[in-house]
Amino acid sequence: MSGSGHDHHGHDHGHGLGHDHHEPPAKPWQAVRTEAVESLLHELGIVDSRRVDEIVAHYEEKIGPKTGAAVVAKAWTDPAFKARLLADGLAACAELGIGGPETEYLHVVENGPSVHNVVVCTLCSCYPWTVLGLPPAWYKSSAYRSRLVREPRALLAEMGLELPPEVEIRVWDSVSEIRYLVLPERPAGTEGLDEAELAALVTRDAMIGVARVAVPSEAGR
Amino acid sequence: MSDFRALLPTVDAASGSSFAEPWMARAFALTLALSERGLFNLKDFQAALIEAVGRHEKAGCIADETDYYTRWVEALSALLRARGLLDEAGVAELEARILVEAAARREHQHLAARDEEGRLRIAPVAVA
Repeated sequence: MSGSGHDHHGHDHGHGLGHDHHEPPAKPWQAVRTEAVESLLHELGIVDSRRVDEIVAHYEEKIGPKTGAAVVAKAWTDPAFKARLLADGLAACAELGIGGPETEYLHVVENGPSVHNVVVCTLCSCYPWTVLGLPPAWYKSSAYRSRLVREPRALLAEMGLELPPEVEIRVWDSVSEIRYLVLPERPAGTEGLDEAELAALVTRDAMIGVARVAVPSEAGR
Repeated sequence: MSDFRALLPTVDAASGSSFAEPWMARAFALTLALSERGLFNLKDFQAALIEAVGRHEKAGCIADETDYYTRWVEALSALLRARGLLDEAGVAELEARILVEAAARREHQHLAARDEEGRLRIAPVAVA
């Protein structure tokens, strides 16, 4: 560098002079690649960008943990449905109009007083999209994926779920052929609630198995 | 482990269904759209994703959405390349054009947003 001070170009940056200006960051390569690939395949007629828009909107707006929560609430209130759900998750969900091409086999695992189930995908990020929407960031993290298998009890405790030592923890590894959904325990004190009210209590984390369904303070009614 | 703690706030996030960045949504939906058209099935994609994740985790780890969806884009690129669906030269050319356009847009926004002294210009662009 010459040190002449003329290396700064024209419109001066005035950093620290109350001139708080943030340039928008350059487009990341992943965004550029995705846009280029989509655009090329669209031009070739291999894929329709309008269909891509629809899928984005579908996952942004329509699919989410609420779908799974409705399944859980139905299982809690309808023993015959619960039996069918545990026997064949996909068929039982299809009865409710839930399904899609993503799931090949949905296995529902039931929590009880002495057994707690929790789901992971050790290799990548397999997840029951059709009932839970898209997985949260932590589900895809290296830390969750490796530690849940090695030390499930400690990891669940770190995530706020302390399980007594007598409760057996079963860790299910999702793969592309089989996705798991945890059927959480129905909390005590919810006998007076109807299906919709019960569904409102069921969280995504409970259906992954990293949380319990909490009893709302006003649940007793 | 501290790297896991860093991820904990998202455990309580109410919504698990939205994307952190628009390109993540595009990459995800493009993959599903391609599988709907029968260009590959999701099991093929899963295998490519597992490979991309595995390669990355030899040296690093996946700690956020960018780490994860970057593997997704790598997997999709690799799968399309393997299937002969990706014209490498065409992609490179289009990527260059997208970058030039994005830079031009930024420059325009920058110029349009500030007056000659570099102050933010807050005024209608036209009044009729």
